[in-house]
Amino acid sequence: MKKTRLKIGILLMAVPLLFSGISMRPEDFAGVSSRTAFLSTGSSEPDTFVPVKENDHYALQINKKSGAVKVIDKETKFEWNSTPADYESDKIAEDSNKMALDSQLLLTYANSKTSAIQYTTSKLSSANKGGLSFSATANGIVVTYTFREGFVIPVEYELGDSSLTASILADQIQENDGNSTLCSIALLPYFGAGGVSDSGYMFVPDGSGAIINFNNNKSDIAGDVDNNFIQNGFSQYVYGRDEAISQKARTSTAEGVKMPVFGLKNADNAFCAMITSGESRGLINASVAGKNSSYNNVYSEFIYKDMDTFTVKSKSYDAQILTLFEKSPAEVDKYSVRYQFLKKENANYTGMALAYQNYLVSEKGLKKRTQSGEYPLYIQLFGGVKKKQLFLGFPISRTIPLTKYDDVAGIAEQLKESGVTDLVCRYDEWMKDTSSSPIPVDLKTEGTLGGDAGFKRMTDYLNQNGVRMYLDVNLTDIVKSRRGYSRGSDSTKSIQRSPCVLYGYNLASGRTDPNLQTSILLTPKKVVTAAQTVLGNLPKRGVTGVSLSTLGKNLYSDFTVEGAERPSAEQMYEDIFNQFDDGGKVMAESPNSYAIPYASDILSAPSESSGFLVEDYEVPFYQIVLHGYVDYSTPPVNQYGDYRDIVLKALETGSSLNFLWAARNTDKLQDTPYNSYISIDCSDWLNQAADSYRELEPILSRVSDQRIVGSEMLQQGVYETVYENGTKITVNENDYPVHFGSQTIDQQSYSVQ
Amino acid sequence: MKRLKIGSHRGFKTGFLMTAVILLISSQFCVSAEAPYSSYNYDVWSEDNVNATAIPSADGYLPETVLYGDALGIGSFNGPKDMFLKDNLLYVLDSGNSRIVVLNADYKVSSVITPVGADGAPITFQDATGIFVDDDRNIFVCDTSGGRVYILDKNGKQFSQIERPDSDIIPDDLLFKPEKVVKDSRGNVFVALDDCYKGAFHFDKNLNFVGFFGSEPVTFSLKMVESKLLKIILNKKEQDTLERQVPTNFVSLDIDADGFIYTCRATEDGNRESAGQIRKLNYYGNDVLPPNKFYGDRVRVYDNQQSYIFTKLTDVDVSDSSFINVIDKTRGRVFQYDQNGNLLFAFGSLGKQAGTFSTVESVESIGDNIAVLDSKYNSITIFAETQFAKDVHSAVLLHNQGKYLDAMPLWQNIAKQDKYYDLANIGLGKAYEELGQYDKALDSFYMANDKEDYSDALYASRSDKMRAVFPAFLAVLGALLIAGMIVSYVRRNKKTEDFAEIGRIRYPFYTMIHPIKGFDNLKNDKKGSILYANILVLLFFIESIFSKLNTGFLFNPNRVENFNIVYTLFSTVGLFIFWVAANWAVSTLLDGEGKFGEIWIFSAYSLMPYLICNIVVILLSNFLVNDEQSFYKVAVFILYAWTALCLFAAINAVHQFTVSKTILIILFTLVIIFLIILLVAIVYSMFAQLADFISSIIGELKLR
Repeated sequence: MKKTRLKIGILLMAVPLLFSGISMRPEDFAGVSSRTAFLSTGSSEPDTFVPVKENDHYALQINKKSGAVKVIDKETKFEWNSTPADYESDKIAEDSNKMALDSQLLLTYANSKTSAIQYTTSKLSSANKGGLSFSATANGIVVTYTFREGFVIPVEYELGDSSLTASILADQIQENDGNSTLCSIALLPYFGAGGVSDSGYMFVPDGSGAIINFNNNKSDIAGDVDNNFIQNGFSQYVYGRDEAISQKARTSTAEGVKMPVFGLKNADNAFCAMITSGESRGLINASVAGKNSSYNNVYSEFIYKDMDTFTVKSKSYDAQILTLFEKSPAEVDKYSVRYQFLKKENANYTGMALAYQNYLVSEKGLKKRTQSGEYPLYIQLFGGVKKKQLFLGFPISRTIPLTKYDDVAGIAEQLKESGVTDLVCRYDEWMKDTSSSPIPVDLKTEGTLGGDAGFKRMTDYLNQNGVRMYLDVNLTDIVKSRRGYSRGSDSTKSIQRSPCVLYGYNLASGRTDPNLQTSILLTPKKVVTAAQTVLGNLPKRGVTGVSLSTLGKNLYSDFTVEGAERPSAEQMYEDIFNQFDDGGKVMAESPNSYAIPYASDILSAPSESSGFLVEDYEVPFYQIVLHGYVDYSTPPVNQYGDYRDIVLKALETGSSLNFLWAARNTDKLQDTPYNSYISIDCSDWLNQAADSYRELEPILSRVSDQRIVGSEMLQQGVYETVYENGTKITVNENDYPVHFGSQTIDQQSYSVQ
Repeated sequence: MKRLKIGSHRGFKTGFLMTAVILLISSQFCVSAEAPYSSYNYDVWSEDNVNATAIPSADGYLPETVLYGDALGIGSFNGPKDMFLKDNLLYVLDSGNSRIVVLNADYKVSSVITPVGADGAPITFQDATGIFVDDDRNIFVCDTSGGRVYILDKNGKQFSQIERPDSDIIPDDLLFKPEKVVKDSRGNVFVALDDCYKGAFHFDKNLNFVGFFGSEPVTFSLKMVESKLLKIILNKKEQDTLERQVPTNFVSLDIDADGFIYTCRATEDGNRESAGQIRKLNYYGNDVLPPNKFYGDRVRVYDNQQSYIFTKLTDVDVSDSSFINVIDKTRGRVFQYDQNGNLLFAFGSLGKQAGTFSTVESVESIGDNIAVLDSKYNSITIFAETQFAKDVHSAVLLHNQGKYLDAMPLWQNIAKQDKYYDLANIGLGKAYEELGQYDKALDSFYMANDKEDYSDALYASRSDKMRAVFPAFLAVLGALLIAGMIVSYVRRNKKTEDFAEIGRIRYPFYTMIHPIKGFDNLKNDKKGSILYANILVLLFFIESIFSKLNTGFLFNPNRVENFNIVYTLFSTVGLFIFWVAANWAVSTLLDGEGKFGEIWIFSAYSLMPYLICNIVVILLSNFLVNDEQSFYKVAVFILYAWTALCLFAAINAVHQFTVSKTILIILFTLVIIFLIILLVAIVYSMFAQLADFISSIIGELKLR
């Protein structure tokens, strides 16, 4: 029984590695379960906390025996502990799980020869072996962990005004033992963890954001799912999985982590943890009490050396799976997490969101771009698609126009007549050769859509009528090798050094489908070159707005180029956004944090969480961070099942509506990569869109430049949003009327105060 | 043996933890607009029934709430296995806890029934898998390993049970392992067993065993022949090592208001897919659903050992509106069908999100909602239908009642939300047909690849047009007949059929009408023209293109959109060249007189009947409907027979062979053509392997 429990614990910790489909064998853990290791005391330091640093509000202390840290709130006397104070009396956690409770670092590493994944804790392999050493710094202390597996990992703690920053000093990490490869490091796994008697919740940035209540009794909800899903709890890669790592199957679809932030609320105290450095190599994990321990914890983990699996076929039926590791770690000087402490009325997810907003404003340059009294409607227009068609019996790839340049102006005109005064338009697949265009650096127009003349007419009309126009430019996907961008030499490469292909997935089986169109990712350094060219060619087209859809949401490494791993690519992309922001306007689609400060409009902000079973409810964290600073829209309304639901969601989250449309030939998309555009005929939707716009505009234009200062789920399906100027919007998404106090809200309706 | 299967699910050690949890979770996860799975349907143009193309479709159902025992205030479920809806109450068989949880329409606990024996002692289920509630609210519970069906009153007190009956017709080695049970309005009880290919056990209202009901039909497969043959050769002991070839058994039962019993079974039969997994049985045990329909996922996927991963349908449910829901344990997915076996919606998936599953056990429709039970997550997920699904359901019901015009606005709304939803095309087609807009109807049926309805519409359209043009048609026909008679009369008077005077241009027509004489004369006259031959081959090619593109939808095996001129070139001109070359090669060995050029010309001339008749065939194909396909078949037969006859005569004449030698040389030619194609295939595959080898070497070198 103990053995099983131990194994479960290990499986949990090795979550990211499980993604890659590696099976772990019990003998790999032989070292971990050794009880003698636990009993041996390597350090002669006393088992008490000593002061490290103090300011007006907080005091940082450290236990030099175990390495545990604590931050004491001088006003309330509340203690933030990296090791739960009463962990030794925990009845659920045993063996390695118990040691994890008193560890500041959890490591996964691999045997270099067998590639078998192993796991250890800083308590077992370092603190108990006397492997800790300390050196004071100006604002805190550096703890250097020497592991018996040969790893040396320094961790720095810095006490801020009302925060603690913990950093893994990545550039000083050593791997001394040639037999072990360090895969990932989890930092402060139980910092502030809530016990069974605590009441509170954990915030995870899943899509719009989600809340996991303490002790929600879902610790073993996720059972054995075949597809290497995480064994239990929540675990998601920040900014999604590196696309340069192969993904063989995809069944369910998750929203993804767009902001590197998580939080925990324990009664009247809370922290908002922001990953301030190295976030693109991070994961955010959370688990609830019950299975492995009696604690509810949320923490971050960092990939030191990434790994990938690939299949070697010796015979057609005998496939062998090999695991490969990155040769050298990513160029990151440190992995830092800042725990911003919140209390009382700020100790909730709204407070966390506002803390993150404040961080973006003060350190990342988020600017106020909203104006009072405006409420735009977003439309995404789909230009054209290349499709094989018969020409004199020959199958020839020809462009089918779906929205011509003149149609764009026509749609804008129709919307204007229907009362849509404020319009933001993104134009997709508008350039020469539309969907199969090579990296479209030269911004040439497509003849079948109307050519240069038509394009000019369109831009003139839109400029005269004050439409915010963005031309979508895909700088990352090479569909065809042409004009200096080759699918071979310019592609980003995987750990096995082959070009990274983005496959389509079969909807029924979830496997990659070789019959579907593939594209190849352009190596990040070439993306920078392409972006410069686009920027240079922009004035020629008479347009200032560009949409860099893929750059804002897809982040990937090139494992064969020095300094092109995700953190470096993130910096490059951030610079690109910055340049486009300086040179005009730039739109980002469902963007990751790094693109947000530069975007003048944000399309398809995630309006929901993925609804992971371990979560209890979703919250509009993403929107609270953005509102009042930049305009944003929901994902396309006409692509989802329930129209009314998403309109109400827009109201709840203060979002603009977004429609994905085309003007003609909308029945021609079958057998193209856009076959999921099943409901995009503009004529079917235009009146409905205008109606919904007129319904929401009077309400949301009142708060366009206001921050959200309160957000709460009053009861199931009833959400209240409060703005700076006191406007309070309550939305009832249920199919039945709700009553609270003297107020009644009809089903699928709302009240505004 | 308590908690047999899910015993490893540890209960919580601390009592106070449980109460804390109940206080905290005031609500379950509420999910709205976006699904965690991609909804899809299957492309009607898929050529392979078991490996069809999945195409995106609008969401029909979205997860609404996920129910857990803890949140309901009754403690965690423990491996629940089945649900049954009766009088708006949902009975949940919480097998591991040996209890039955009854939920009301608001998904709140109505009661928790603890089964007790007749003696008052609580009943512990060994492995309960099926539950049914009859009109008197008596509860039937199947205990598979326990080998019995408990019959409890509405308070859970056992008053009867069903055990293995004594009967001669039950094989001795058949264990009584009841999986699912239903009772019809007459009091008949049907019990589906685990691993019993004879069908369900049928008991009368006094619970006397009557016989077996609705066994799965035995499907014929090559594997069965193989094992039959092996059984003749092998001795008894060796026979035992063979895979057992028995019909599969159905695993689930449901009954609708009219007393039809629905069954479902897993997809595989032996190691291959077999259709008709869902059946709707009448009182005699006959399936009344359309035959040969394939249910569940129609996709071939292999695991690492290269064996198939099949769809595994484990529970069937029929809703109040007669829609059929089944769940697929392999992919945690619900499929919904209408009474014609059309897939309406596929939703759900494996995963960790609300609306995705680990181990699905049971599906039950609750009004417009669908509940899915997961025994690993110990949860019940409630899916609510979207507006789209509401429209589809109403439209399908109206459509099936023949109210096509009433359904029309619904179908239009459906098409707005999903341009490629094929039932909408069929529905709209029917409406257009009723409105007399035949061209639109034909277009719609074509888009839905619905040949049957297309044929009906074509018939109606034809009659309609005929009425208008019939007098004119008769007049033209009459005029043509008279003209033809005059022409033949004049010709007969001329009587100038002298072979020597047949011009080069008329020769192909001449050989067509008089193949034997004609080709002989052609050989003697040496009037064959290489130019005309080439023109004929070119025409052959052009007409093949024309045929592929313009043969009527009802008779065209190819999809026009998939037409590829290159394949057509190979299958006409390419084949012709192969034929001539092969024939020439064989004939030189067999002392044939024909030269290469001659064979070319003669063969080309013999294409004449094809060229002429095919025009008629193509015309017919656009005109005839399904009921008249025999006319079409006759025309096609004439076309090929005539062409073959000409070709035979041509080869006979060109080489001056006897009939038997001609037959021989034609057979040889065909063999040579076959060998050439084989050779090309071998070379191609060798090159492919070489390329594969080189690329894998490059791949490995890169890793160094």
